[in-house]
Amino acid sequence: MAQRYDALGRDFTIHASVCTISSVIYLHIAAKSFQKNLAYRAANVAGILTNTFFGAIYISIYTALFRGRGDVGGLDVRDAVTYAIIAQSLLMVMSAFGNRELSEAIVKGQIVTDLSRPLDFYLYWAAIDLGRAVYFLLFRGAPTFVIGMLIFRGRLPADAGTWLLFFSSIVTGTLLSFTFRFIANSLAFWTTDARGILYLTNTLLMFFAGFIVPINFFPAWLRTLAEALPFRGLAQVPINVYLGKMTGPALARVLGEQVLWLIAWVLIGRWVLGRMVQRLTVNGG
Amino acid sequence: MREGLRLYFRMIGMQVRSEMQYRASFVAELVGNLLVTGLDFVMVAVLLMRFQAIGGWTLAEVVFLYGSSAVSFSLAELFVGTFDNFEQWVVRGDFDRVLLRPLPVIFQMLTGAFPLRRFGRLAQGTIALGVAFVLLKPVWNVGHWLFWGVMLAGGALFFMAIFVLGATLSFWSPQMHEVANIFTYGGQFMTSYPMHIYEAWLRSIFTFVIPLAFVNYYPALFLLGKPDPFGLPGWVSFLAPLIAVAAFRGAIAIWRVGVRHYQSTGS
Repeated sequence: MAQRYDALGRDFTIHASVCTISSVIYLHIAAKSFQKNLAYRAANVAGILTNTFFGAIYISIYTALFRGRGDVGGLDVRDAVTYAIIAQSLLMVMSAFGNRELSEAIVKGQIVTDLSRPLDFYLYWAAIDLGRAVYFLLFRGAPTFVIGMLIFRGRLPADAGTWLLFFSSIVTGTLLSFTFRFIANSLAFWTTDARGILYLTNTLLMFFAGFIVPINFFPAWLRTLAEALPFRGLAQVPINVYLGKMTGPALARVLGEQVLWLIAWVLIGRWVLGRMVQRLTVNGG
Repeated sequence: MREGLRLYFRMIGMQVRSEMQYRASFVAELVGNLLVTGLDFVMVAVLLMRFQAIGGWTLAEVVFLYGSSAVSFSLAELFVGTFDNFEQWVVRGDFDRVLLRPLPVIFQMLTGAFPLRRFGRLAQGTIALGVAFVLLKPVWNVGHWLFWGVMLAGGALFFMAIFVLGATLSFWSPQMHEVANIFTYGGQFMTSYPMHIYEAWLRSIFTFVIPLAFVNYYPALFLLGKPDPFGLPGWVSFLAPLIAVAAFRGAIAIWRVGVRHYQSTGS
């Protein structure tokens, strides 16, 4: 059995059952994070209203823009309407407005406690974030989507396979979002201006995900740039999969790229974490 | 009155000095705020460059409308003090302190915060207006420029009124403050585009319930010399200052009802 270390470098290779317990623990942490969000019921209702309202504004804008036009950038008016509904539904799932929990834990020094737990620090935060994402998918995204579809009559996917691909791309997007935000938040360890950095990284994420304007409407040079970056996995890719605009080999290539980005970001995130822990040990914690 | 103004500037000065203690953070947040809020401007630019026009308005005209709305909104955010994010004051019980001090509550609310990072939105709104003026090359007389100033100030006052109403909501349910976002951030987003592109129900809300259309869209119709697609008489454009002042006074009156309703969290 492989040697296992916790974040402070202590060996915790005891025996097999410990490892099983630890994977259950992450599920437990995710469930707790899910429950924590469940407490804010009124806030969630207000959030659904807000997402629906912003969706309505986007839809009005697209409807007016498309008047007298057919396809633009591969989308017609009903595609654009559907795009707006799904983008609003995915905003909170993908944490598009950012999430400062980790950087605040770093700034306040709370991570010392987190690091001394016999848990993998990276997986610990991943579990917290995924619990949050599942909550927002079920209680924010799904209702916003259903209400939006009923009021504004978006398109439905062609078949069950499309739904399946849509969900897989949401899962990939959620993981991409977490792994990227972990790196951005970790920078708080080296700078006191974490908020400035997070504003910047968040702007990139929001825009190049396609949350603000569909990447389909970007000017050619900007579209090329956006398609070379991984952020579109958070909105543009799932929505285009849903609309049936990405299929077959093209889709396989895009999803493959996303998985490669995901692996890279996990490795970078873990490397940054390693540096952080080293610094922390040098300073004496 | 003079005493009051002196005190106002001293208290705002205090907030500015306290914000400037973290100079590097201030710069980073200012730039960050400019970029994040600038995305709205980028959206206008990307869409209008691709589609050429929206509801008969060109890129330059929409950018003018957008810039005016963004400048008004940023001024409101800047001067509205702790009416913004007020739900946190209720949750933490901080509002008790305000009630105990020997100064008018509203005065304390308006001077309780002066978030300098909001200059970021102001800056990008100003840049948008600069772009609009370069493209439009308006031939305005002094009256036009003055009226434009009134339009911006009226918009700011009107958005402040919405912030005050949103804060009032927190007395009943602090969690519901996100509903207020519909009218603050949502209002700003919506008024960035000409009002006639929206469906009737959306338009009615922002014409009759929260009459933002009168402080933004109608004055812009006059300044850009465009006809009203709804055929209202021309003088409607000039109602902006009246409506803004009435909205602000109304919001303060409702806020006072909320204050009477306030029960401390007891923490």
